Amino acid sequence: MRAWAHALAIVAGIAAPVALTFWTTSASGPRNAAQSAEIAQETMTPKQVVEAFERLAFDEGNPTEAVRRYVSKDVIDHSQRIAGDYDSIIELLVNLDWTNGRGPKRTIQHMVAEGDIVMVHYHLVREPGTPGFAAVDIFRVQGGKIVEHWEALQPLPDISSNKHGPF
Amino acid sequence: MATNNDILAEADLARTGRNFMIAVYAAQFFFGGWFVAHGLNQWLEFFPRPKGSSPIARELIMALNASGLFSLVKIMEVIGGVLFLANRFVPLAVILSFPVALSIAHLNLISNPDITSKIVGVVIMGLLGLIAIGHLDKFLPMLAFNSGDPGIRGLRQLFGKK
Repeated sequence: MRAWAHALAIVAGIAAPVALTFWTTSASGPRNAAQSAEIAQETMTPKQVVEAFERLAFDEGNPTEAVRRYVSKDVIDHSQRIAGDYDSIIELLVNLDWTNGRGPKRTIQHMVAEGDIVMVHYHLVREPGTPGFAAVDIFRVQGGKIVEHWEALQPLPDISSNKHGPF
Repeated sequence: MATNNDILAEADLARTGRNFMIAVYAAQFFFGGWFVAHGLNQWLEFFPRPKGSSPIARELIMALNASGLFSLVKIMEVIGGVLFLANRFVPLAVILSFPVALSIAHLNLISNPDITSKIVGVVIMGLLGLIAIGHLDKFLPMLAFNSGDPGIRGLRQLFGKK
């Protein structure tokens, strides 16, 4: 092989695969950042998914995005406050007043994960100044998405004879 | 005496041989550039490092990174790629690159579900296979059914002794 042809082949040999890689990882390419983020979510453990959902929905006050990102479209919700499908979850959360940090306050007490089930025991205060609820959410997670949800809410009394408190 | 048909057949064979040589060179330099760029990307990050497009692929890549084996693989990629680009020790580069290419192909064909990965898996083995066939004459001694007794002939030849 002649020297000039060799030099040209080296340049083309490096440029072609590099250009191809830049294209595949660009926004319009088949290996773009959005697809990468989706895959990253699929690799999260069920507990990580629920933690991320809680953080986005309640700590950052963005419940609609949290549902969009972490809840399956085919979710089954056993909460008796709603119809139990994806849209009814969105409707419930959007209709709550989340403005100016006024959304419900959740203080997580325990979080336990086993297999695809994650259980969250927390103190829920919907109205500031009220005792709120001792609550448990149970999530079933598959492929990085919440696919099923159960809840149990125990209203807390203003005064209780229990010397240990609810938590 | 060669007939016109013989001459034409020989010319046709030479043209086919030349086209094949160009195809092998194209595969070799593309493969070499690919391996050098992606090998060096492990440390220089010209573009996002592939993370795998399925949970199992991601876990495998994470485990390779955590154990340090990925760096070794990338060093082999760079060495193989440089040899292909330099057009030196090409049969050795084929041997060196084979386990790396096989691992990449397996990851892309079996663990990654997306179509891009499937294409990558097929192309990488196709390119390396084409380069190997282009240098098949160097590998033919390896295809001896009866390999005979081991000895020091190879060592002597390596150091230029008869």
